[in-house]
Order: sequence, then C-alpha cells, then structure tokens
Amino acid sequence: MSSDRNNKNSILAKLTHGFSASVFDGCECRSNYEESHGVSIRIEKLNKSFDGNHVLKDIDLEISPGETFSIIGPSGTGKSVLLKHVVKLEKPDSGRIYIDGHDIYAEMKDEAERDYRYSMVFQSSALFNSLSVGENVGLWLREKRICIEPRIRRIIRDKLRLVGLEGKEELMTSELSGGMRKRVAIARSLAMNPDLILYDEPTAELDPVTSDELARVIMGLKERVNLTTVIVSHDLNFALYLSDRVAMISDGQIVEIGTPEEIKASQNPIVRKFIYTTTKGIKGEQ
Amino acid sequence: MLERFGRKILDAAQTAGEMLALFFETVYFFKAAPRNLPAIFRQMSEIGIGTLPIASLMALFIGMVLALQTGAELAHYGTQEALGAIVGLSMVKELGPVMTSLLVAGRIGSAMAAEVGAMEVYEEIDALKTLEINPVRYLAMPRLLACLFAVPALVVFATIIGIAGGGLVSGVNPRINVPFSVYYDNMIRALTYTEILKGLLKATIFGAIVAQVGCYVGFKTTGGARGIGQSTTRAVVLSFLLIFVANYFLTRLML
Repeated sequence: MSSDRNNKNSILAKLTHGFSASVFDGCECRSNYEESHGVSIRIEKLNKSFDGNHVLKDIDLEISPGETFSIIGPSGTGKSVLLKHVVKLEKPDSGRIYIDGHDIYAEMKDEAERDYRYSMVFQSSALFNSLSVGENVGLWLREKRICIEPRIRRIIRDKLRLVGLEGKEELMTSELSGGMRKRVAIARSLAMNPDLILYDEPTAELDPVTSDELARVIMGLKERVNLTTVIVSHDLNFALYLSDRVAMISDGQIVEIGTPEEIKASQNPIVRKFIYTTTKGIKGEQ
Repeated sequence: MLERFGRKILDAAQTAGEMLALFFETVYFFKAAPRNLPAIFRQMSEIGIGTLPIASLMALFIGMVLALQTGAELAHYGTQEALGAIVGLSMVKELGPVMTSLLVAGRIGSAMAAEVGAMEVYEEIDALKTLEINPVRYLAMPRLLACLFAVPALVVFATIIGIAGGGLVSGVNPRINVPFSVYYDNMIRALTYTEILKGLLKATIFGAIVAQVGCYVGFKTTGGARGIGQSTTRAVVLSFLLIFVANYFLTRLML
C-alpha cells in the first residue's frame, strides 16, 4: 500500500516536473549549478539610436569580477537601455560588450557553451501574475530542469529566506506589496545562482523605508554571494551606499566614473548638479 | 494618397510574414509539448470547458432559428421533411465551425492578446528572455496546441446541440410539424463522414487562427493599458476577418 503511494507520488512528481528526473542520474542538480563566480564586463564604443534619437553615445565601461557597480543619472538618459544591452534584450548599432572576455554578440550561436549565468531584476519586478511566489522563484529551475523537484523546493525556500520572505511560497503575486514584489524578483534571479545580476531602478516606486530594507538585502547578498552586481538607479544615496564604484551617465554619455567618495568629491558640473538636485530635491544652480 | 496605400500594403505584408514566422516557430516547439502538458491542459480547459456553456446556448438558438426560418419556407412547398438534412449540413459544414470559432475568438483570442500583451508591456516577456525561457515556447505553443484540440471538440458539442435545437423546433412548431424521427433519419442520410471531417478540419484551422492572432497581437503590444485595450480589439477584428477569409477558401477547396 505504502509502496503504491510512493510510486504514485513519484509519477506525479515526474509529471509536474516534466519527466526530467532521469537526466540527473542520481545527482540532485546539474553539475555546474552550484558553481558561481563574478564575471568581468567590458563595454567598448557602444552606440544605440531609436528612430533617430541617439540614446547611447560611444559608451566605454569596465567592471571587475565581483564588483558592485552602479550607473546613476537622471531619467531618460539611457541607463536602462545600457543594462538591456548587457542581457541582450537590445542589440547595439555599433560597439562591443565583452563578458569574461567573450564578445556576447559575436558568440550568439555558441549560447549553450556560455559558462556564466546572468539575471536581471526589472524596474516593474516583472513577476508572473498567474504563478505563486514559489512558482515564480522556481520557474527557471523547473523550465530548464536544473534540479530534481525536492531540491528545487529547498532552493526556493533558501532564496526566499535570503530576501526575508521565508514561508511565503504559496502567496500569489497580487497579494504582495511593492517591496515584497521586488524581493521576490531578487529571489527569482538568485535562484539561477547567477554570476552577474543586474538591477534596473530597484528603488523605483518604493518608499524610503522599503528602499532601505532593499539596500540591506542587496548588501547582505554582496557579503554572502560571489557575483558581479550592476545597479541602474537615479537614487543617488542608494547607489553610493551599495557600490564599490559608480558611473554617472548624462545624455547618453558616461561623464564620470569613480568610487562613491570620488563621485561625492567630483568637480564635474553635471555630477555636482545631479548631487545637488537629488539631495536638495530642487533644481540646482551652477 | 498612393504612398499611404502602398504603406498599408507593406504593413499588411509585414504582418502576414511575421505571423507566418511566429506560426512556424510555434510549430517547431511542438516537440516540447510533453513537458508542457500542465500548461496545455490549463489552456484547453479555459478554451473548452470555459466556453462550452455559452457555445451551447449560442448553438441551440442558431439551430432553432435555422429550423424555424427554413422549415416555415419549406412548409409552403410541402418539403419540410428535408429540414433535418438542411439543418444538419448547415451546422456541420458552416454554422458550427464558423460561429463557434467566432465565439472563441471573441472570448479566448481577446483574452490571449490581453494576457500576452500585458506581459509584454510589464516586462514579463523580457524577464522570460533573461531566464533563458523562449516566450514562443512558453506562451504561444501551449495556446496553439490547446486551440487545435479544444476548438474542434467544442465545435462537435455545439453542432450536436444546434442540430438538437433544430429538431426540437421542427417537432414542436405547428407550422413545420416534422417528427424528430423523420428529422433525424433525414439528417443521418445527408451527413457523411467526409462532411463531418471537412467541418472538423475547418474548426482546427480556425482554432489555429485564433491562437496565432491572439499571441501575435499580444507580442506586438506597446504603450501601457491603452495599448493592451487596443490589442484586444485588434485581435478580435483580425481573427474575425481571417476566419471569414479562410472559410471562403476552405469551402472552395472542399467543394
């Protein structure tokens, strides 16, 4: 009787998991899932236009492995477009992006051989409303058949605990607050065990208290997980607090790069104006 | 004006090309169907079971009206015994597949366009891409497969109910007064397996049109809530148009 039930459970598990159990041959996950390493990013002379509007102009940028790097600047200056190029949601008109020395656009046909994983936390969180919190977090693991089902459930629990949402697996995304949605989106990205994680305006539409909580979550991840982090934000304090280095982008061009202290001490008038405006909340005078 | 006309033709050609490309890409991902069975069954349930009550009601009244109009005319010439054949053939070959598909286009095609469109607008499709999940495989393939099976099944039910509705009116209405046994015998004599298969083939193709248009329009959605609303309308209009055009050519081919 008990063996019948186990057998039924096993068949059900295989059905819900898409008949994937056989690919693991006794292991819990595919061999390279647990390995993660921060990757380097090099952007060279990147240009992008939309309908004649030159959004990115000769962008040159270098980010070291394991670095937390922020790109700041006012809205509409091309920050998110730049980020989308790194995850190949946009194609550049000209220029190159190298991740760990590999030209990501030249090697599209070798996608399967890519030895790094990236994920992105979107401005709108981009959670799938038809799925529960747990299903959102485990989507990549299940779709790609990375692990066996019990291990996936453990990973979901672990990643939700990392972002302070332990035990919320069964909630639907419509039941979550803005801050919780962001944290689920982060957990979903972390479930990929990425080597590179990108945040697009993580504090957008969040109140200061929730922004602070989110900063602490990202800071905690920085200490516990070895990955390269790129944050795009117009929230200056958030970027300065979290980052090893910060780049300021204005009118599609990088105008300043440096450590948070260097940015704060910058004499570049565009940077000074941005700092003055965001700290005073009114139009700066130069 | 000539330039505007030319641009319209180019846009239409581009839309047709993109829809065909999407169709072939979706068909390519049929190989992934076994591990997407839950999503396919969920869609089939939404299309089939969700639409069944309203499709039944629609078919019942179509069958009844058809019998009423045709039966009254035939009664003038004393040939109302042929009513079973007329209602049966009309329902199986034309009204069942076309009307049911139009209903599915209005109910399901619009919902598909709205759902996929909302996912496009709110970056969920981009999120799928960064999760290395092909949106066509994840979203379009289950919907197309579900439509290919669920729409013909729905048409079978609707046709049976429409024929039954016609039989009911022909037996009950004093102006027509054809007993159900006569109506039924007449219909069975007229209907061949070939006719039934032709009707089902139409339903399958119309189902494919509804799914493809819904997904295509959804994927092309831009511009927030207003864009989603426009996509919903566009999906319904385009589905209706393509169903009518396809119906003519399919009927012509199957004559």
